[in-house]
Amino acid sequence: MRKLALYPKLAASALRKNFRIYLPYLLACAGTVMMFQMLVALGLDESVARLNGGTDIVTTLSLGAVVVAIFSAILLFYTNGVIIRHRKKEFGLYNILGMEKRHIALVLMWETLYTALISFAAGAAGALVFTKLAQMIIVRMLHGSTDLRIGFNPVSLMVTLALFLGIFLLTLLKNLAVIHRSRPVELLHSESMGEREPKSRWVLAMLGLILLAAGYAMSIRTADVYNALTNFFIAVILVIFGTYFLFTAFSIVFLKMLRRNKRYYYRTNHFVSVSGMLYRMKRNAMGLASICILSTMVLVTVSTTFCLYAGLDDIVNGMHPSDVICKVNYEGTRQPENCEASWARIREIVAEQGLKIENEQIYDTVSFTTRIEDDGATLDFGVREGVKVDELLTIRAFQLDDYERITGTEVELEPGEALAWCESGEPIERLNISDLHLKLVPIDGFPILRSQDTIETRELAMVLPDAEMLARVYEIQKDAYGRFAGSLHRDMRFDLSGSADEKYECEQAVRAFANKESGTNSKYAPISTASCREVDYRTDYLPLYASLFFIGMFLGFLFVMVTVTIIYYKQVSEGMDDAGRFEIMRKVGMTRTEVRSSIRSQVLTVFFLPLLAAAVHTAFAFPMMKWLLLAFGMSDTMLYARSTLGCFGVFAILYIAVYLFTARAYNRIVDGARA
Amino acid sequence: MAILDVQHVQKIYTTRFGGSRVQALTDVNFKVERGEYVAIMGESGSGKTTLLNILAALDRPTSGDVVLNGRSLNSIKDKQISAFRRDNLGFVFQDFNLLDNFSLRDNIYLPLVLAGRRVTDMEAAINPIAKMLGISEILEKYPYEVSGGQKQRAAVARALITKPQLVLADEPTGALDSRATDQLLELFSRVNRSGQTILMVTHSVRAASHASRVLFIRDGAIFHQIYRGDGTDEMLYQTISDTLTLLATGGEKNA
Repeated sequence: MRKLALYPKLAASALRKNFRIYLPYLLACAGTVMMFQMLVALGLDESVARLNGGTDIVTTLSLGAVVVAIFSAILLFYTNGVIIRHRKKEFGLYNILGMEKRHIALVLMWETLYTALISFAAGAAGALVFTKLAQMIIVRMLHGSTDLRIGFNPVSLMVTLALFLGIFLLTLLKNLAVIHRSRPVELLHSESMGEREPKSRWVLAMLGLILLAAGYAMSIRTADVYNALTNFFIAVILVIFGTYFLFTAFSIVFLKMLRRNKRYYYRTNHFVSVSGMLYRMKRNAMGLASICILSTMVLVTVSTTFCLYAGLDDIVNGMHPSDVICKVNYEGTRQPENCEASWARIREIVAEQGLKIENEQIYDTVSFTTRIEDDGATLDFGVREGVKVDELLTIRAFQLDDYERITGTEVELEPGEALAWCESGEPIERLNISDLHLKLVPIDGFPILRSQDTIETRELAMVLPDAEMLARVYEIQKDAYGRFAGSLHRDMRFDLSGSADEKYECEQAVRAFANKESGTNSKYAPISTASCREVDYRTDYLPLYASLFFIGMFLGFLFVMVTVTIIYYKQVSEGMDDAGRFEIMRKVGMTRTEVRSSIRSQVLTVFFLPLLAAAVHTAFAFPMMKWLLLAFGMSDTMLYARSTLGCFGVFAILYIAVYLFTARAYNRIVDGARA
Repeated sequence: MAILDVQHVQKIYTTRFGGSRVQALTDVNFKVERGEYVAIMGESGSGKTTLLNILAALDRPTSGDVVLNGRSLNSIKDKQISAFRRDNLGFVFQDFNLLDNFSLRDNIYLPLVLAGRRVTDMEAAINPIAKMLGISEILEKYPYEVSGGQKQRAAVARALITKPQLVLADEPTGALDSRATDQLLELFSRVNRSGQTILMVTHSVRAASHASRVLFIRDGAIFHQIYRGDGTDEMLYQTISDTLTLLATGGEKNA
């Protein structure tokens, strides 16, 4: 009986004695357990799935859960590694005092069990509390338009248990392997064993520079959305590898260069800190590079998702220039019958809802995008590869009758003339559409509201003299592009008076009519699409962008937690390494103040390097992210710049706070060894 | 003229809550002349280490004073004590205390760098010392690349490079094999002959037999001393052994 209880007791007392080094580990365990369980619980919850756009949210949440799982595993593995390295001496002592390796293994097993129990208990409790908070945040972000009731979910608990038991088992196996491989004398002296000075690896250092430069160049040279989408992951990978190589190889090459400069090197501060950094850069570099990359992730994730969420209204307004746009496709070049009946019915529906129609516009239109030749006048309908976005021109064509009716003006057009308005770039004076040669008469502004295009190509709005001409243009591009050609259609677009809720109801009624009642065989012409701003906002955009922002914040918290934990353990493990060295320096005549200031100089350099690098990464990511945001309809660069700066400010403050806190832990360890 | 004057030094340790008091040094009183090579012998717990810490200005006596080159250690402020130690004392330790992350050259430079000397001065200072100690060839190596004897010689070079008034050696041969011990003791003698004052704490008879004077410390006080006179190392070795035997069998003072 007695003997059985020995190991649990030893394990418990080991945890207590190593409390200072174990506490952050336990916190990290509990934190990751909590975050993972929350995400899974939210993703599995039925009331979340029932939300408008619930499937988007669930997809985003489960992707987030995968990211959390991966980073939890990495973090716990790393932290456990640091702890076990510093406890080798203790195990060596056990071994010498007569405990066999299998007894030590038993102690370790009990320790892991305690750790697991504590983290599960604390994590589950935290999840319970914070799920309520998350629920409140989500409801708030969806503007309270939901009745979210997230209850306790046993499945999420099971999934979490399974994942983290797996992780804990792996850490235990790793620790057992460490104990198994080592000899007791080595265990006793493992901390004092000198690490060999790292070699200069010029090739790797240069490779790091090249990779990083390539990644940066890719971002800067991004000229359009397609480019950004295809190159994004390549650029990210280039920068990640570049960062690791740079920190591991370049830092050593750089420090050795400093050391060769005798004037610089043989100064009290530089002497101690340069050699100190060089000495353990090999082990440190990975940690520093990881901190740098994680920090960049925090900055990019939070700033982009925040910017999307904050700019949501603009995004939706950009995609929906009018509250409602209904389209009726032509049958070839023939206008379907009953078109007017459809429009009349829509007016009735709006009236039944008690709202008024404003800014009503009805017109025929065809729009298509094609390449414009270098002469700036001839359209090229050939199908070819590798066309650049700035060579493309989007043409939206209308006919004069509609234009005159909408603007209430009368326009005289000579034969072969058309009205034209270019949103940007050089005005186009002549346009050759196959054998159709048009002279374009410029007009100031265009009364038919903005287009719905998200991908920004150059745009030309054009009013052709009559319906035949419009049909002609339609047929020319139809012949060239077949089923990829733009359709000829008749649109009705209008705004609604009333509150957002009223609009929402009304738009739903219009959409129901468009989807169910209008059709080829009914008395209403078939409406192919009915895009409704408020409905789309509530069912598509808000849930997606809000859940993206939520996940962004969530991952931001996770990355911050991982960063903080890594920083803490780096400081603690370095403090332990440095304590002996500073003790020697004090013995040969270094004052307390000199020790302090050289500690500060060394720690500051090592510490703020990743933050600096993260700031540079984020700045270089900016051009590419700007285009990626455009793919989400976000074109407000200033807003993105502001949210990036804001995020960096908050993050830097947090980082400095963590530094001050962990530097104290470091000083305590280094000073503590004096006695 | 005495370079070191230890005047009635007493050291009492009190436990944290003022409970029990331990008298480590009762009354230590001796002088070291310039150019002397003094060994202090004593068993574990005799107060050797406490005395050395006080001489090294790492610890302060409860009463009494230590005067180094005419300057009382008690009169030196805490802030200046490190600089004082750096300028006037050289240290050689049992476990070398070399820094793993510095080459031997940088380890030897360390006190000079701390003192803010110019690079050219440092380079001029290291060559004769390295030559004398036979480590010129291995200056660029790291401590983990060289033997124990070489490490200790580098540590001696570090102690000598500031041209200290006094070299304090704490059991310098404790971690060395017999060949390295002989080499190191031979070096100490040569360094001493060049005019360097050395004070060594040891319990190795062989180490002490190289000194010009041996002090015996017991129960916190100087108990006995032996002068070499004109005798050889072997004769001194014999005398020390006899004295230790006498001490161990409980002989009275000056028996």
